[in-house]
Amino acid sequence: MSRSGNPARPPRSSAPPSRGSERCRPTTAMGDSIADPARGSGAEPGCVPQGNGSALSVITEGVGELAVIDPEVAKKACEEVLEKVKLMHGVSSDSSTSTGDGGEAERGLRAAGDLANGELVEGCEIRCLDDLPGTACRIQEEEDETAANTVKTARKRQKNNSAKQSWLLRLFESKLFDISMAISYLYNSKEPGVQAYIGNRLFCFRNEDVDFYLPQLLNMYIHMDEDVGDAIKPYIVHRCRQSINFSLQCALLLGAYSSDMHISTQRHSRGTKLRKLILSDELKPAHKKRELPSLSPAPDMGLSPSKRTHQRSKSDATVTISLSSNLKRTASNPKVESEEEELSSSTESLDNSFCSPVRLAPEREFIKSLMAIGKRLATLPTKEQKTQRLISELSLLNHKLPARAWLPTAGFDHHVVRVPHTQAVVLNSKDKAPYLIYVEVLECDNFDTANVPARIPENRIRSTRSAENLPECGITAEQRTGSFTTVPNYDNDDEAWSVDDIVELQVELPEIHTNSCDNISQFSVDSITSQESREPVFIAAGDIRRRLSEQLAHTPTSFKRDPEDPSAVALKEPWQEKVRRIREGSPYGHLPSWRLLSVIVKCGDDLRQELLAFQVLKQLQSIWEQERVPLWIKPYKILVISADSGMIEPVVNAVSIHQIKKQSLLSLLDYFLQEHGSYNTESFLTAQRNFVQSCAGYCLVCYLLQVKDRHNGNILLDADGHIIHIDFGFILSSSPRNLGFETSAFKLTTEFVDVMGGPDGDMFNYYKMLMLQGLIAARKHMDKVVQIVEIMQQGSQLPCFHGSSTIRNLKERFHMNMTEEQLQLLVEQMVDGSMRSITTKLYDGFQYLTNGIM
Amino acid sequence: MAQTEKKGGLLRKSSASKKPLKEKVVLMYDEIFTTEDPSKSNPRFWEELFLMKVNLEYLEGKLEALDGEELMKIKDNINCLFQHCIQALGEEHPIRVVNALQTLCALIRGVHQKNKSTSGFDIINMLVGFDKAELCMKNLMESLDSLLCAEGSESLKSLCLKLLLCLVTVTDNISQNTILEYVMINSIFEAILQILSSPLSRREHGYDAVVLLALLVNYRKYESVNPYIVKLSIVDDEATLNGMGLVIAQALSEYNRQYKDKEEEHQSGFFSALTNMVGSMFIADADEKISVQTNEAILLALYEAVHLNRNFITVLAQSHPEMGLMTTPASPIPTTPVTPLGTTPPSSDVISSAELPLDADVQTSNLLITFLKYSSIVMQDTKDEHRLHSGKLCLIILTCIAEDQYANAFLHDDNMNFRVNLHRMPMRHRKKAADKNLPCRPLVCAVLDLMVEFIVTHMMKEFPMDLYIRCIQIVHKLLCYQKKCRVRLHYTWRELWSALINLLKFLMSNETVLLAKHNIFTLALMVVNLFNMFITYGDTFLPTPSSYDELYYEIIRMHQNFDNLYSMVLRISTNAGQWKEPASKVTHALVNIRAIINHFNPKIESYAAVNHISQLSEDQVLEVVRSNYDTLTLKLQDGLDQYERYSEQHKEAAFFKELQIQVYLNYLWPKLE
Repeated sequence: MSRSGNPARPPRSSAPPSRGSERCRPTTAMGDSIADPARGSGAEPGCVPQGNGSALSVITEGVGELAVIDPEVAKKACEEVLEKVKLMHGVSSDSSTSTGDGGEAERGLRAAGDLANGELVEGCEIRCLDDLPGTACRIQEEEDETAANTVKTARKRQKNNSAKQSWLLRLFESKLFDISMAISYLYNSKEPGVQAYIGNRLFCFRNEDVDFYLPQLLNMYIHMDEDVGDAIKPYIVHRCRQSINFSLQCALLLGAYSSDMHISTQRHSRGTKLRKLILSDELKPAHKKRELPSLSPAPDMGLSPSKRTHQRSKSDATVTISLSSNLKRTASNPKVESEEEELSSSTESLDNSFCSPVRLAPEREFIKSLMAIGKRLATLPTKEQKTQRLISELSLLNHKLPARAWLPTAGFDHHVVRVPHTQAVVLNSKDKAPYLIYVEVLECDNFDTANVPARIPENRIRSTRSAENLPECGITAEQRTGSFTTVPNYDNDDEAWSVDDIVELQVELPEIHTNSCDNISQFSVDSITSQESREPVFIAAGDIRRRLSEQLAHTPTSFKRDPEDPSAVALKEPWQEKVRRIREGSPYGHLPSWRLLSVIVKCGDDLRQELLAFQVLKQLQSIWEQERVPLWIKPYKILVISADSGMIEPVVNAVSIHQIKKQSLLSLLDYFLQEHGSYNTESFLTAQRNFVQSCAGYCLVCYLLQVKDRHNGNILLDADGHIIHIDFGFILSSSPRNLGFETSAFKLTTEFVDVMGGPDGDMFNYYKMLMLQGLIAARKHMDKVVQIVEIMQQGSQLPCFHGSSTIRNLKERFHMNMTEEQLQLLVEQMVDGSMRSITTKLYDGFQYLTNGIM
Repeated sequence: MAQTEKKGGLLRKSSASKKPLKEKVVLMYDEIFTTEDPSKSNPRFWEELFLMKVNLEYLEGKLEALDGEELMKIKDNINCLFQHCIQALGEEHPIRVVNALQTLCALIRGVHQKNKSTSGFDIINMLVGFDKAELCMKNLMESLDSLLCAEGSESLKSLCLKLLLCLVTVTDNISQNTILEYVMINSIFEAILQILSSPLSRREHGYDAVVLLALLVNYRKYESVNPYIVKLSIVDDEATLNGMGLVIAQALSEYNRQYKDKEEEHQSGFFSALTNMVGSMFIADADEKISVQTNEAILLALYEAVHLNRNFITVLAQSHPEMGLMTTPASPIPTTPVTPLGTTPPSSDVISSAELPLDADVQTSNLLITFLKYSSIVMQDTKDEHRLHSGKLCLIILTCIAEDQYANAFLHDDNMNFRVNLHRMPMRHRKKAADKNLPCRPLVCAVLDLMVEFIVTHMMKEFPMDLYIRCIQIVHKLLCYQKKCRVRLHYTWRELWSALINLLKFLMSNETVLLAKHNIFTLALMVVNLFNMFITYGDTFLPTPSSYDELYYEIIRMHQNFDNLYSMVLRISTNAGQWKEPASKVTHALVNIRAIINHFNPKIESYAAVNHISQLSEDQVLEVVRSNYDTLTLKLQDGLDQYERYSEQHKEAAFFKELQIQVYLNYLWPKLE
């Protein structure tokens, strides 16, 4: 029960006790309404610690105590907790001379909160809070906001039927209640109490878990009734305060999902308002400024309840809270905002010292410039012009970097420092201009507090390009005398500067090899000695010729440069190779925190469907993982920027099958043989297995989601043999034009089957078996998948939701009513049908004719 | 000048009504040109003087009429005038400042005009007076510096630069202009940089600033420590360097555009009138000659930047839209001091402040491309002195570029592909290549193309030996980089090989004529060593194994030339004489080529004999080559991939002195007139 052992949850370091109180109050209110209305809002139960959902699910909150926990036991537990808190508190105040223990005190408090939660005795909890003025004064900050909720739920509680809901409550408190269920109940329940409860319960889940459902949450916030919105908002606001990245994502998604509304309603919608709030930068990270005030009063006041701050007195007892706040205002969100405004302005001076005055502006500016580039590229007629223009535009963008900007698709905190502009490529698209850029970033521990790295001029890389750092191949260097090319410079006026610079550069780059420091003289010595030894050296012409062909053969098969398809070469190059190359050429490359990211910038495309597909894929992936079905799919991250722009995280080490066929002029099987070796080599077999597992995975995805437009340009093959489907522009109810192509369940060409070893091979049976297992697993968790889609349908004009039967059809494709034998038959039928499908062939032919896609 | 014209108009008007009346300012000038102190009669004389509009013509004419001795007589008044001018520069009223600047201009030029032969010190004495010179000039430079840096009017800054240019160019040899010693001591370098770093002032004064800088750098560059050289070499502010690059690129592309217009005019007489008109709109005095006259001043600036400043190399690759098409935006966009991205102020908004124009036709370009095009035009015709100098300077700049690691990195960058339209001389035996079909390639291909083009087109009686040597050196340096960094450039090396072989052929057939003037063996040795480079190190930089075969094929095919060359150098090296040594070097260098020829020729002959073929096809020869590599042994030659770095001080000093005088001659005098 006791979880004092895991207090370290760094990203959530901002004032958890205050949040706890904010959360628990409405919780109590609801809980009371269910079990014992008479207790009223006087209850101030424990805080619900966020995070660690599974451990938490056994905890019973305020109400739980009424039903389950023996009061005596609870009281005892509570006293233990208090002891612990005091102990920790004492420690922290003892050592409060240094500022560094703020965090410790904070941790102590949090632990206290956690522990208190675990035991859940309300009286104890109140005392606990009272005894900790540091906590208390923080509670005040957000309690007004929640008070509104409290009142509302309190009013409604009379109507509730306690008997019916107590079962629900048991579910909510059970171990099994996960974020997916929470979202589902939030969406389906019409009961404001339930919604409010779940709104609070959101705080208990791991951030990453909730993040996955962010599109759903926000879409509900925008398009569903007020109660749902009110339930969600505190959580969103809270998270925005914590994380700048979360703020950005919210703002972008709110904008994108509001765009389907009528323009007049859109302007006044909640979504737009929340978006403005976030963008107005009022939700600055709060943790720093809140920690500090809490420190000073704590040691002074100790446990004396009389010496509270004036703020605390307002919210002293919970009974008065609901009443006073009831008088003060009636469920007014705008007021909450203004309150927050005051708050942030009052601590602005402090705040400034910790983070930049403009939080989101640089990032938005960065995104805006990338989008502007995309728009301008779209006006150019040829790929070549686009590429050139892209490179020059990016080189200009480089002048503004490093900046307090980041790529939201990355999984870690970082600053963007440079865009290696010459590496950027324009991707294949007929009328739009998506492009792929590589972005050099420096990783940092905490984006909010880290300083933007200083700019290093481009030409500072030159010293790293010394001969030593270049890969020397083979023995040729030793065989030939003097591999360096220059004779020492005797020009005095030149030498005067260059020597200085070289020294300076080497100081800057600690990684440089020590033996490189004097390369010029070193080599001149070499050449002199070789001249002295007048013995002629002979070489065989055949050797030269052989080395040439060998070296060319050893370089991994790369694609030829094609002005009409500039991305092929860039994508074929192995990622590690590319990273190494770019790092070598970058002035920031020597820094240990240097990382390379890549991103596809799409301008003029709606990525909301892509995001939906990403979520479904991700969900399927975790279902299959959970059910131990070795299907392989690769969901790639999507950042929706607006209804017509966004970014995509590229799949590395993968090129499209179209590019493969065009460049290699081989069949897929032959290409596999070329890349991985002959049939019985291990690497070929591994690649083949990867191919089968990914193929089965994507066939299921394509079937379930009805992914269309499956030409070879939209199917990638990675270096390990996996296929990856990209471009989910046509899913569910939408398909490209209505020519009646692609009627089969999924795309399975004979070429694919050949790679699997033909229709009679073991691998092909394995493929079918995987499909069956995958389908059974997916069926078992159908709700989790359908839910994602269903919520996004709310208020959406996306083509994939066209018509009224999207969800029904989706559900039908899971075939809940079939036995496993029937399912097996179905899979057989689908595979057979797809293999024989004349339309797939036709569609490829059609694509070849219209778009030149092989 | 506009001012004088205006004044003329005024005069005419007044003269129509009355008897010719002297302007007040002219009367005051007359007072100065007496031995009397003018402020004696009128204590407010100097104050009044600078309120009057300057009559440059009169003042300069008056000064020019006096010779040294006469000037010495009125030295006190001249000194006085000079000092008061400097005083007036500090005044608030812009009219006074403008007048003072113009008066100074006239004064300096007038005094110099008549006294070309006089020593610099005497001129300083005449103008300022020795005793006060140091302080006076310090004040002058400080005033100019603050005027240039201030937020003041653009025309004022322009006048300041004109005055400085005037000061720098009063003597034909800049190093003899003693007065510049004060400009060295009181540096205005920072002011020049500031002009270049801000987009607005750069647009207005960039050209003047760059030329001024180039000239100042050339002041006694070999004799003393020139602070401008020192400072220019360490500038690392990207905004400033980019600004400088833009000014240079703009000037060069303007030249390219004019040339193109003129060329088209030649081709279609119908439009000639029109283009002439358009051309004259761009350049003030667009008579026939000037419109294609080379611009050594700007080229010199480019050279100094590339040669002295290693950071400038990055600017070469800095992309910008094609200059000719980018007319400067009418409304100068106020550069917002707001930092658009984060806490670090944007280190530069050089070009970005004016967003790249949204024009589909605009081809992105960069300074290097513009420069290559310019070079291709200039090097077409090296007959007259100016163009020879220009072409030489172009090659020197390319030499510097070819030696630079960073420059080489982007020259060879596979991702930076450009279509560079080099100008090719129309020749009888070849058609003008269609521009449209040019592939997009790394920039180094364009450099190589340019070199090949030069080699092919300059085999003439007036053999530009120096340029050829530089040209071959550039190719050699590029190859050294490729060898070192294992860059496998997909270039049609065959064109280079056949150009080089043709060059050898030309040298041999004109042996007697050329030997009278040049050491042709140095050049021949360099060419042969280029081949040696391909033969011995081909595996490190050739794109495909078959290109190595092709190299052998080409050598075998043209073996006659190598045979002839060998017999020639052998003949000369066996005779005693001044060419013995260099010729014998060539014989040694030819060892591998001769080995190849001697190895494969019998093989090919026997192949033909066995198969009963009289004439072998290329594929057949290649087949023979491929199957007989293993029995061929080559000798490793030393130092093939080593070169002497470019050095200005010892070898090029005379050239740069000459060049500076040329700049002085064709740029400044006509412009300031």
